[in-house]
Amino acid sequence: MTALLVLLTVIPGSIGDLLTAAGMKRHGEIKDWSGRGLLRLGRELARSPNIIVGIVCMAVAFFAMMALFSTTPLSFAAPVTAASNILDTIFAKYLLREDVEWHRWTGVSLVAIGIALISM
Amino acid sequence: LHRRQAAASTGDVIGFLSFRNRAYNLDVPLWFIVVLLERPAPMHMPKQISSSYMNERGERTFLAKTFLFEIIVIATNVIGNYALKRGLVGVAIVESFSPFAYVHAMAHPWVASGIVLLICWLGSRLALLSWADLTYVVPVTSVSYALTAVAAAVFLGEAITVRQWVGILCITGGAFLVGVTFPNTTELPEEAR
Repeated sequence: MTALLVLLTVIPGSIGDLLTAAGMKRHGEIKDWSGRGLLRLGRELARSPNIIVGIVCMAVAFFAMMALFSTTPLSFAAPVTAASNILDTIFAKYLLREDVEWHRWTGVSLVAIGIALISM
Repeated sequence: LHRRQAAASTGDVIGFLSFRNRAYNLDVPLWFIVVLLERPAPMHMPKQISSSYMNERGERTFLAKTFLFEIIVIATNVIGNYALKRGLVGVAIVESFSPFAYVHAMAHPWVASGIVLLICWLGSRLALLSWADLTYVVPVTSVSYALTAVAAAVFLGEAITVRQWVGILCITGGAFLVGVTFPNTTELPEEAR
């Protein structure tokens, strides 16, 4: 049960990040900040499969994390949430083709360690 | 960048930037916020972001916009989570799967404002992701974890342990390292040029 919750926290969380990032990248940089422009943007995003599935995945991860926090000790649950940072980076490197140089690898590792330490 | 040229005054400011937590008689230094606000400009722009897309002025606007949205994402996350936590403590949901408990909780003003702020968080994060890399956005906005711990110390009187301070240091250092890279390393889509 715990293992299932861990998987449901980490994997949909990272897939959600990946899909929303891909959806927004496909849309391109937001430049029209007028009310009408934002309305059109909202309509476009509401039709984008990447964004919809991405947000659903993030919601699944959120509720799985709540369940994980309520059923396991914090010192176990907290590092699990940090792991999704690393998975995000791997997805972004190989699927979104981002240029992940040493600054970013070191940075994201430090952040993951920090999140684990801070929430334990 | 202009906003980063105030570095000379940083040293003077650090001394004042600490909150005294009365409950635990604890100084909460906020140096890490200064470190992040004063980080140097990104070191290089990748070649594939061609000069046809960005001249020097365009690059400056791009970086300022990215920085502004980072702050919005972090602030809405921290304040939204704080409001939600505070509201949910007040409501004290009985552990049940009844949807009525959740609907009732949502009517609470703290919970409602928390939810509104977290919707703003999602929107601003999506906007930031439309021009910045995922591997930039995730570590840089993780500062919210550090700020949440500090907010809990300042407003809720929770103590910050040594281990948590080490965690805050790690997050700050990591976000700083990522923050000096250029936010976008991927080829921009045609329509974005």
